Amino acid sequence: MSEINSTAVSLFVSFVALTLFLSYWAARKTRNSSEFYTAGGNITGLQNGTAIAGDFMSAASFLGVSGLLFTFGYDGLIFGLGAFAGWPLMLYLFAERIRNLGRYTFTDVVSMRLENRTTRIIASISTITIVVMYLIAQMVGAGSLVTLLFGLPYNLALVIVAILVVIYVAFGGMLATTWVQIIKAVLLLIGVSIMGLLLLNSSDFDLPALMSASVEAHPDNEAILAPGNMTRDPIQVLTIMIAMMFGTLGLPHVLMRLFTVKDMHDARRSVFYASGFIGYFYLLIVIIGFSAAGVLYAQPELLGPNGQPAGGSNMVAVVLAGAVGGDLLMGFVSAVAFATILAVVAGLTVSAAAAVAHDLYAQVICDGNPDPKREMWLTRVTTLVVGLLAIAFGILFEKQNIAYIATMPMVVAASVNFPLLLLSLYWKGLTTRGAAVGAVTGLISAIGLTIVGPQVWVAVLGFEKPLFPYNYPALFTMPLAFAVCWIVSVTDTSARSRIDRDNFIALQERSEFGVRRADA
Amino acid sequence: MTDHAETIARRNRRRFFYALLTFAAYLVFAAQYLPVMSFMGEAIAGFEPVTYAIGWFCFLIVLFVTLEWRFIRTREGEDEHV
Repeated sequence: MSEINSTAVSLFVSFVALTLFLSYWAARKTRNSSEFYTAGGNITGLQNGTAIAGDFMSAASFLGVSGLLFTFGYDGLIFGLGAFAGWPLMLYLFAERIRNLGRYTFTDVVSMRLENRTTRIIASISTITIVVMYLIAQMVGAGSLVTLLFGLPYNLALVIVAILVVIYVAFGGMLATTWVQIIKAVLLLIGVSIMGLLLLNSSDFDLPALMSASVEAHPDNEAILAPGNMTRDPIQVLTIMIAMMFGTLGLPHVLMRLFTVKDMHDARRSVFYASGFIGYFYLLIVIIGFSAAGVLYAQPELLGPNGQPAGGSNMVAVVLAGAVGGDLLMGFVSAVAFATILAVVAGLTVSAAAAVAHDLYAQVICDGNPDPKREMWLTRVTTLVVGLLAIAFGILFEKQNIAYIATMPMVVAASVNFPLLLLSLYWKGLTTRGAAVGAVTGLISAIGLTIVGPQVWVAVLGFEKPLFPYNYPALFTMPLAFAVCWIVSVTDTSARSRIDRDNFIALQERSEFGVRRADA
Repeated sequence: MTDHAETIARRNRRRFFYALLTFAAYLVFAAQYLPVMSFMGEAIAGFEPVTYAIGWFCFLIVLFVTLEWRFIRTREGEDEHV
């Protein structure tokens, strides 16, 4: 694996050349804030749906879930289903209403009826926290992946990712990011489709026969086809599923994509197309992950002494691609895995730039009247800073167990952003004070319980027993955030609370019918 | 109630109906891990274990996408009459 795969290198260089050209093209069309943050709202439903899928189908989805299915079997489905199940709720509860409010970030939506300054500061802190955690996980993953696949030094890999992302985002903004994500989504879907077809073809399209081969080859045999091979604790399963489902509904870089289409019709369609692509992707990942045992255990030379491929279970999909499709498919899949990280980091960077330049600078510091040139300058500076931070974090966390870092954004999103969005859109009683106290409670409890849970307290800090028994504490922190928002809001008798409640009708009309009808 | 308020209330009822239906189906998957629900696997013993494993996942994906399609068709039908 340390040998350089020339197919992977040439395909990846082609991808980079194409996306850099797109950035050059997009830069000529990106002249103001609206074009930078939302591509001027000119993305079609199909394009946006594909880009959302490209933004969401991260390396963790592709490499991580297939590795979990290979190692634990059925229990890996918890993560696959969890990552998919948030999308129907995104369509029903948020897509059209958020789009009709017609701004740039989810913070715009939350602060529309509440006190602007307080709400924006808290929502921006939450956004930046989620983006940074996501970024660390992606960068450490990128460094390890590139070292393994391309034989490049770890730090050089980080620098390459950061430079490319800064170029995409600083010059091409959301338009370039959208096309990077679209191309990556198409390549990823082609890659997993070919792998799925080759695997099915190897058993004459007899799926049960393919699975039976895995059952026979896997050390756990039939146990991989039933629940309980990874965990038997129903609370642990439920809290993972809650984090995955509701965390998806609060990811700022994903929510931001809903503002890139022209109206609520396209917003609905975007989410539907994204769901279709993500569902199709996970169906293939299930086939790939389950079938991997039958193929890889039959070729012990592909596995190390611990029964895992070089690089651990995350490399299952890549090694399997080589086993069923030779160097060409392995190179293709490797290049796609790297492109996947670039696309996700680009989406995160746009989101961070919007949180700093739009939410904090334009709306809080300048009170909604920024100098447009200065705001655009700040978006590019923020992009550059995010790129430098990404390199620094990647180096700093290189030796750390990144599993806990990757879990935290979903828990924070489910415990802070999701309650804020749902209550501000659907509950008249929410007040600024309730939203602020609830959000801070959700943020502190999500981070705190994750730190004292098994993944950090035991695995990273080395204590014997965790203070809190579950990973992904969203089952506890999300209801806590809702409860605090409710209690503080209903007991809030301040003058501001009356304004917050009175603003609800106007927000609801606007979110339901758009600006023109609501104002009419 | 004004026309707008009635429309919003009707749409919200539909939104939460679909959301709760999706969440309930999602929870059924989680319920397999409850000790008292271990009969679920046995109740479907007529299926091969392979079908049980893959079937659950495929069923839920298809169910969710179908519900989304139905929701969109209903909303677009409403928009055409506005």
